[in-house]
Amino acid sequence: MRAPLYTRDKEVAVTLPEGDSYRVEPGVKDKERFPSLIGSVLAKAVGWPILWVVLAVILIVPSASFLVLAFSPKLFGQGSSYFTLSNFIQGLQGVTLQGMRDSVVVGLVAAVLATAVGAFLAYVLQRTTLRGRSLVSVGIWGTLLLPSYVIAVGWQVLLDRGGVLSSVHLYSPTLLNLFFGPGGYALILAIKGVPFAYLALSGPIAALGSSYEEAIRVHGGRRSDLLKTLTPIILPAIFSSLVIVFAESIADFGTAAVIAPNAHFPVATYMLYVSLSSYPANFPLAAVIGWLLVSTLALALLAQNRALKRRGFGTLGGKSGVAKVKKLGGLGQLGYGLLVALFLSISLGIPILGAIASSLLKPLSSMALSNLSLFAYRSVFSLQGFSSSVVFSMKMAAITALLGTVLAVLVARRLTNGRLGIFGRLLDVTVLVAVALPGLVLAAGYIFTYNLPLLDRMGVHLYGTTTVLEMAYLAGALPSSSRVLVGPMAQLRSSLLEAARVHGSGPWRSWSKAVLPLVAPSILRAALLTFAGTFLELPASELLSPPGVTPVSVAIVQVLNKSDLYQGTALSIVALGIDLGVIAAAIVLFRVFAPKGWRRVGGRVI
Amino acid sequence: MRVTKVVTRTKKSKISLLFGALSSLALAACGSTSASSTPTTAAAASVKKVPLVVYAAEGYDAAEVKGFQQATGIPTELEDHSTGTLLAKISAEANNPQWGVFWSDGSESYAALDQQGMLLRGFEPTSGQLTALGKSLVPADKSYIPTGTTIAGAIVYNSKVVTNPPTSWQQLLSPTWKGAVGMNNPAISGPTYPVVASIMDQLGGISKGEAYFKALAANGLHVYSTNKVTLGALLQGTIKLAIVQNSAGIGFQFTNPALKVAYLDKSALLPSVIGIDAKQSKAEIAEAKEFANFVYSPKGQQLMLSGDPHGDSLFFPIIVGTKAHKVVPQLSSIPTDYPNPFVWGPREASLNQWFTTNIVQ
Amino acid sequence: MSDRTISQEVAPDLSVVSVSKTYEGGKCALSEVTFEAEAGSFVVLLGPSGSGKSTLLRCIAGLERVSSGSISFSKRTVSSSTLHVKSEDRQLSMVFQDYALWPHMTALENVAFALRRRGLGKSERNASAASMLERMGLGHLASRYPQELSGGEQQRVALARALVARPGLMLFDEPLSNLDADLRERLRVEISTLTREVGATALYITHDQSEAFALADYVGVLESGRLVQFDRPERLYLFPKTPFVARFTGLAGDLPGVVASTDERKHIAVTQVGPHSFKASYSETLAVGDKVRMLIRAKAALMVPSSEHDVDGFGQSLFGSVTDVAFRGIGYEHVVEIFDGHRLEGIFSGERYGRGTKVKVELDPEGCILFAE
Repeated sequence: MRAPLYTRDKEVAVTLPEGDSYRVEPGVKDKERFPSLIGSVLAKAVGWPILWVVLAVILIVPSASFLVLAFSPKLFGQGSSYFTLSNFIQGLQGVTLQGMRDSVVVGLVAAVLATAVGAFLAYVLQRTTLRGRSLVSVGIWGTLLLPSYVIAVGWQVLLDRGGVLSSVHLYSPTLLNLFFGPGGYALILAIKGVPFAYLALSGPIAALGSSYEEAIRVHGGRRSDLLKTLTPIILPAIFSSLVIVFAESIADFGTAAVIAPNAHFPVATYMLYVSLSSYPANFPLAAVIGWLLVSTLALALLAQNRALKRRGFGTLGGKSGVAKVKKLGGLGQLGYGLLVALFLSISLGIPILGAIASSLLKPLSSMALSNLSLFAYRSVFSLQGFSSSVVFSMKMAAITALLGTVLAVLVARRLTNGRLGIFGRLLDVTVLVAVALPGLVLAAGYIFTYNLPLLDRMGVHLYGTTTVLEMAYLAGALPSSSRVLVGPMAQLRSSLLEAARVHGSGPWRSWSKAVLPLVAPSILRAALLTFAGTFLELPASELLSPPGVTPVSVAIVQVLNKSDLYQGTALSIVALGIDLGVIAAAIVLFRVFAPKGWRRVGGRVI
Repeated sequence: MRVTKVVTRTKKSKISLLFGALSSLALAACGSTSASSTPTTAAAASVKKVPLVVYAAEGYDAAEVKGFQQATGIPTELEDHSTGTLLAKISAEANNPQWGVFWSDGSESYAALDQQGMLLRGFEPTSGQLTALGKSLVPADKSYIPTGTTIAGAIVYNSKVVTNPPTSWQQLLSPTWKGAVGMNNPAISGPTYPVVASIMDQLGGISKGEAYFKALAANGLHVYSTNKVTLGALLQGTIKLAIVQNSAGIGFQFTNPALKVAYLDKSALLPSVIGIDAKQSKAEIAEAKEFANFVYSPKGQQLMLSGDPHGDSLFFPIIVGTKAHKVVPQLSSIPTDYPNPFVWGPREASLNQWFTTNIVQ
Repeated sequence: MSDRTISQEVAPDLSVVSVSKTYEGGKCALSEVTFEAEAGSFVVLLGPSGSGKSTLLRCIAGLERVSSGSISFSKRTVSSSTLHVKSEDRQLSMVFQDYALWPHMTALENVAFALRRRGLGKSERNASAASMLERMGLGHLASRYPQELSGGEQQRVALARALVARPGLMLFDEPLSNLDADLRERLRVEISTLTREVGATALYITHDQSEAFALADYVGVLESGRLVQFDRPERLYLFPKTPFVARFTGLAGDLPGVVASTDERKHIAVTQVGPHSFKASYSETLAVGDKVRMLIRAKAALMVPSSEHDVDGFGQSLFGSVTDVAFRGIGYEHVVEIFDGHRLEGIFSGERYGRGTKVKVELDPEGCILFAE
């Protein structure tokens, strides 16, 4: 028998005698512990009001201001009427309407394509033994990080007359026409959508117990029946994949900027850009297009709701059996490997090679070693002030990554916290609708909101400061990064957190000790996505950066406006290299320095 | 108002406590990007020099602003974006204007700004004397200040591909040039609207002009976004003739000597002009006037000519004593046209909308 | 529990008064639940899924707020509509259905975590946790991660985590439902003995009546958010307050009938059931001519060989034929079809009656309970 380590007194201390065990002061009435009943009810109902205030300030109010412009231009000094429907009438006809229709069609095609490819990749990565799976997920992440205009430009310089293909005498006008049309447009949007589809689908596909599959087999189902029968089980994930890719697609501007003017194929975001580019800029019309985008997404959400309403989907649980991993033989390795390689070369390989080759190639020359030159790159390094642009953007991106990820974690927590309730659903819709609003709309909305003379009179001087730019970056990053976190956080069993609380840890410590380690890689992932997105963000950088401050993307556009395309491309590649370099460094640091348990369970960052 | 603004600029770091340290670091780091190596705020306030905000879309603007700041000690903040972006910013900020000086190509948008009462009228710089051409570009109410001019719609072609370039706008409608002509979308490219306006003006009105562009579209016109993109299409062989700003074409000649620039019968003049924000404080307006004077001065003229040697610096000077860049042709050899910006400026939005609807798609 | 480094918390009386819980959106999960459990007692809440037992447990754990009513530990209110003591401040522990072991921690780290609130140093925590695991025969698994343990091992680690800080109140959320039958029985015994050894007040929820009866000092039966009966297991079995309680605690079958006569004093009524009449007990007021259902406990149905002299329906017996027989180790359980296609299930006998055998079933009036329809 061991000697007691504690004296009697100490034992009393740890025993927490009657009276204060539960931190209820004797004699203190219940009501005094809670400031007011109304307050507590309100707090419960709204759920994290501070989060809502932050969302309102950075996201909801600026977006809403811009949308209000559509029928009340005078409110923001744009026109003569406080209420008019003429902008809607103008927006709902002719080329604007056609642009919206095109956007919807292309968005639907992209959503279906991306979901199919995303599901395939999820299956291959989660359920087979394909070699080099980690490399594939690196590729998927690369696709997520690559701005859509880089992919579009990469393909363009490859296919163009005088481009890389024609320099090796493989120019094909048919291919070019195909690219500069709805087909190419949908293709690039689909490529950009694949990572989102993958994120939405990989969890459910990984968790889809093999007992369903076995049930089909033993009841005489064939291979072809598998897909037909299993698909409905992961229908919610399929729908959320479709909706998110659709939202990203209709709001995409990078692809539109490259393809739409050449393609004789107007899309909504391009029409929005046009309405803002001519003078005087037609903000009310742009706002109408914003309304169209938002309501299209609302319709998509409604469709999703209706489709899922009458089915029970509580079936994906631990009881459906452990998911089986398919062992691939030589032929399987080859077959799946080729398909995956095909996707990666379309999404990453070709555009990156195309961009690099074109930045190295002297204009109008054929592909030969003697014609390659580093001229464009040399001129980049002689560019004045670019390094300070890089430093500035890097700092902004780092701050955004930090704050944005905290916000995204809060949002994702709220969205995965059991019962959503009205406010939870509202949050879900808000964050999703924000995806469908192009960055340009948000940035313009910031001007209208934060440059109001009223704010000046109230002593709030935010406009024209780095703070406002930072807020816009945050708002722009939040929808995607919280979406990245929702999946992994939804997979967390709530009992893990509850177990920590029940065994005596406060909310913060419970979360940091029992949950954070499990989602740390996902959080880092969200942070890196935010970093990458912010580092090269254009619309807000252009419209909101304070005088005298030049973010990297603005610097690149300035070069593109001044000298030739090749130097601009070279500059983009350098910036992208810096961007990806920082991300790679962060991942390496995580692998080396994160505690063992974190790495063990959370898996790899990419 | 200006005084309060100074206060706000010191105050904002308090508001933005969260970002304070980092953003100020970043601002300091970016000092060298453009010409905003601002003296400390306290010092600036003590000599009553408020920051002058310059919105500019000229290739030489950074050099000019830097030179101005060195010469006068006035802290100057440059916003360098495309004309379209700056105009969008100016429109959006109409409630509470942030700019002091706006400097870009194309007088039409200035005419429109003037008609909204946004420009300071009646001011002319005295540090340089305008040539006859220059005087012809000054508006009656002196609401903006021309600083040089280019040709909006020159024809650029590859002499290895095209040996016999067109000489008139009408020739572009012939089968020879079917599917071979490219131009910018005036709704996106600032310097392109004057081409549209000038052609319509020369043809005798909007309806005749619209008929011309419809015929051009029927002949396979390609429409791109900006000068660079259209010239890129020319280099890649997608088109044989590019209708672009002449300075951009001359700039491309440096790296592609095979390119040639031709001028059709009557080419539209495209002046670069400065506007001063009528709604700013007296102090900032005074500084803006000083800025315009600096641009007209020999030093300012020299900076315009050297700031963007392969681009905007290739303009036709309009100040007596300033000589154009060697590669720039004699303006007297080119038939030019200058449609009245106060007539054609207000039509810009509707004509651009028409162009986008009927020609682009 | 001789480990002296950790002192035992005082087990509290648990008092739940008129607790209701309504979720956002209006779904009522609990309605006016009231019961008291004295310190150190083992209470099992029994109910089907959706009956609210889980919600009640989570309210007591502090994981959910109550909408109205109150929960007190030894007269200290911890939950009411205006007050909510946080879970971590309630000095309790809990074993979860899905174990809820933190996957990034070893078994030892998982157990040691629960000692943080005791304000011990890390080495002391680890020593106590190790000795706890040792006591449970898990010492050799201390450095394993949860994924490297079997389901039973994981749940025992979770039990060790719940016990190690010697809490006054222990909660069990269907801890055995994910385990195999034999493991379940072994772990049930462990829970029963260890909890009582510690002396903690225990609250245990399950949907399995045999588990409930085996563990409990008191059983509460929940139906649609209401606590329909709270009593010692024996009384619950003998005197179920409602047909629901009776059914949920095990029946051989039930038959429709009409009351023929009553004996108010003994609470025995004669009931006409089909062609027969039986004596059966009742607790509610019944009058002659009332339509009733006679609920028959399995142990009240005794199977005897039928002889030619027997008359169907004489005394407390009726005839039937065996339709199924199951070997249960210590004997046989039969399904017997009686008149009108009615069946009696789970009728025990030491000897086997083959399928199709004509048998006589005698009903003990004490195990036949009448409820008005």
